[in-house]
Amino acid sequence: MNRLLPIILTGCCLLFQAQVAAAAKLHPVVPVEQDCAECHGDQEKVWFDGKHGLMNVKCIACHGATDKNFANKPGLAACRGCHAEQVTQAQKSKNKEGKSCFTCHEGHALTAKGSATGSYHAKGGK
Amino acid sequence: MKMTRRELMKYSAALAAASAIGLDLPMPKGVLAAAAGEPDKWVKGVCRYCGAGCGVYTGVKGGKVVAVKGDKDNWNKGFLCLKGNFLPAIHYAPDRLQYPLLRRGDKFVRISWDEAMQVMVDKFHDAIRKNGPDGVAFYGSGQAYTEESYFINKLFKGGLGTNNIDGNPRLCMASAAVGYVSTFGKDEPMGAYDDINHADCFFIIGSNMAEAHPVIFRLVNERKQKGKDVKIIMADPRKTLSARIADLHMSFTPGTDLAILNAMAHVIVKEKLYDKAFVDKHTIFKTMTDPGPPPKIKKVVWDDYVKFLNDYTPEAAEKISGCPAAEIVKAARWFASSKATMSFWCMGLNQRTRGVWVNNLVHNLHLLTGQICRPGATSFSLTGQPNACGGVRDGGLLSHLLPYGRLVANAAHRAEMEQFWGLPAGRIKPKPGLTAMEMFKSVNNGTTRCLWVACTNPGQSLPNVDPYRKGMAGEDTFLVVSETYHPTKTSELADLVLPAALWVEKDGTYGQSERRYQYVEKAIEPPDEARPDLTVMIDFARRLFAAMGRTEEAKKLFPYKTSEDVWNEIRLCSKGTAYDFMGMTRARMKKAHGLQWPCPTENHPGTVRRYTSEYDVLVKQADPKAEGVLFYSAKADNNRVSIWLRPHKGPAEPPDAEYPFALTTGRQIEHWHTGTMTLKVPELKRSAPDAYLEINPRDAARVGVKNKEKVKVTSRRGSIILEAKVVDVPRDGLVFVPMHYPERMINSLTTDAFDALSKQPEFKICAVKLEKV
Repeated sequence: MNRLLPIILTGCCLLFQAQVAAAAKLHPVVPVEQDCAECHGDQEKVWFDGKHGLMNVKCIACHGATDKNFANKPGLAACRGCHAEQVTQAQKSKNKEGKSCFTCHEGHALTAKGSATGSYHAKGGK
Repeated sequence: MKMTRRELMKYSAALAAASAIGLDLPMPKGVLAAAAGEPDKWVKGVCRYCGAGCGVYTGVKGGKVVAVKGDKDNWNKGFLCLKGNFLPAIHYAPDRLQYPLLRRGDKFVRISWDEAMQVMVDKFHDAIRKNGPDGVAFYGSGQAYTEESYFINKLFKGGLGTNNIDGNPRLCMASAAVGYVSTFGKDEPMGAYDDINHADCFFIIGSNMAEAHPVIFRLVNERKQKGKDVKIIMADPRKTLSARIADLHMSFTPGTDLAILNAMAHVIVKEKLYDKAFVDKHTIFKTMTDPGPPPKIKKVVWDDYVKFLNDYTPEAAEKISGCPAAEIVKAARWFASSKATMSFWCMGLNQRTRGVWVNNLVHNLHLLTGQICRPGATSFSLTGQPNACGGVRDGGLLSHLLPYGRLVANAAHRAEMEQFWGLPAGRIKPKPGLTAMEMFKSVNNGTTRCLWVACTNPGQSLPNVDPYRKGMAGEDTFLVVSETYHPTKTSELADLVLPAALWVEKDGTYGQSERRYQYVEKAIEPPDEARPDLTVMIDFARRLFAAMGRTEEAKKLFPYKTSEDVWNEIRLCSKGTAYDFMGMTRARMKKAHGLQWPCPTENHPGTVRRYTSEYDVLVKQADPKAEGVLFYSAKADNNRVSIWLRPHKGPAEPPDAEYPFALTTGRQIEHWHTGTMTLKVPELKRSAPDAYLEINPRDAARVGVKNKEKVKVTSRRGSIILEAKVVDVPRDGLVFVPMHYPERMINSLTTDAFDALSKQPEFKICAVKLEKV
């Protein structure tokens, strides 16, 4: 049994990673010392040059850890710590698009995008 | 769900093993991972981490903390930093201590609270009988609530008659405190965060505020973006993330900033950029003729100061510091000429053998130029812990202090406190007690027989920590540790470990950097058998006094049932002092988003800026005719504050041929102090998992080490192997290591040399050598 244990564990590991890839909602297993920018350099640069980069609101704030509480597409709760009023407005939105911060805000620059005018929150979410 | 310690250890081991191969075990319900979902209620409080004191609402669902959000009505405008955003998880770490533990040989065994208190009382009583009250000591924290620190101070200094009570702010803020007292006569900043909105020039020295005080950094950046021609000067041997918003980054050899600050004063005087009217009206000049102890101080005059500054031309300072003379001149001109200049500093100045002197030199610049006591013009020390100011500096939980600006060595102050506490005359000893490093040396030599450590982790946070760890682990001293988690690097050395309630599991008052006091409301129950430290302290005091046959005295001294009872006594204790917060009733504090002292009456709005009649009601109380600035804090010098002649002196252990690099330690945004809380948060641990050695590419090439390769770092006290992080942040000859990680304690290498005036150790500079592994 002792000799089989590593094989079983490795198998479990591979199976787990395959499930990760299939589900696409979990992050692939990466070494603990690996920095996000090593695979996501483009996104990291956009983030770093934006306001949230300047304020060091790092990847984990929205995406969680790669091994715990990972979110490929962050939910509203991730923004609530600093933007509680805006999140409440979004929660009350009547259409599906309005229930995500990223409908109006670029994913990593987090600036208003496209036709977003910036008046949505100023008007109390109307 | 309850787990035994054995079950918990098994689970943790399984979790680690599974994690190593990529498996993700489910968290045991009720132990790990805060429940998701919308909170049932939001409870108002203050962040648990740094001294910025951000207002926070805690979201509670089903008796658990499930979310936090910033308080938009507080100074932080609803913003939190990266680690503040993840506060809920600190309550549900797998190593929460559930019940009291007593050491039996190499193991800890579970005991009841009743047994724990009895053992503790027996040990303390025995030590006091055999060695007198100075045979026991308490080591506290800038994280305890004000009510806890005040109570334990009263128990030790007033009840037991020993001044052997000190705390971790000695490692953190002591030089800032002594700096304010020696310059202004009283501790604590006169300004506020609101000054950020009015400043046109920021002078930031010895502070990486982007990581250590991120929400204050956010306000500075906001001012920079909105203000026209706002200048930011950043003086730091590392080009940190904070320097991203700087107009001028002044790099210099670690420990040479005294020369730079004197050279800035030289430029200000030579170019007649000083405010002569302000200097003439409000200042005197002092120098130290003999370091003592006690130090001998001599009053001198303006001409002596000018002569003193003659040695500090920008060119001379460049030779000493490596900072270009042109940058020193530019910084001096910006500082003096802006409409309003605000200085910030933190551990880079405080954790130094000349910490007090370098604090004095920053104040000098403000006094010379009159850049003080106006909106945007102020000299502002940043604070490391959430209640170092409120509980320790103000409340007097240091071995030389009594509450609210009173001193142990001052007979009138002792008499005041003896009368206030209802003690017999002479109960409070006239000699200051052991300071932090002296206290742990006394553990090493066995003269302290019982030591109670609460809400802090000296087994990791002391400089040159290894010899002190041996002392704490030894059998000469009975070590009691009140802790939320176990094991920590201190609780693992204890004889008795007491489980402590954490943050919103209890209520109390925090006081932060800008004199803002805030009430933290209890939101949830503590887990298992954990108790608030105040409850434990009161229980211990009553039992100890009963054992000593002083039950009736204990009834008078410790009549409290709630933290509000203690708070009301504290308010009375502050009455009539420079700290007066009689107006901060508990009912008012529950509604307010913090109030700034002095706040002497219930209809007083609190004081944004001190020492100026426009804002500070105490100015007119001190002198009804006073208009504008009055430094009533410096009553002994006729309301004149001190410009000090402080010569340059380098660190205790500069680099040399054998140890050619300077090592400095510091913070990362993800973690706080010794990581007992933040390293339990999966997201924060994933983002910053381990210690590293930060080295610039030029030095890395010289050592022959590449990014992510292992390097052995050795000081005269110890060695550690770390992964190299090769980035162009530290200047040549300087390396940096974060101080958060228990598995790789950089404090095994740091020096325990300390400032003669503040007794604060020089964590920030020691000499090391590097070898590729």
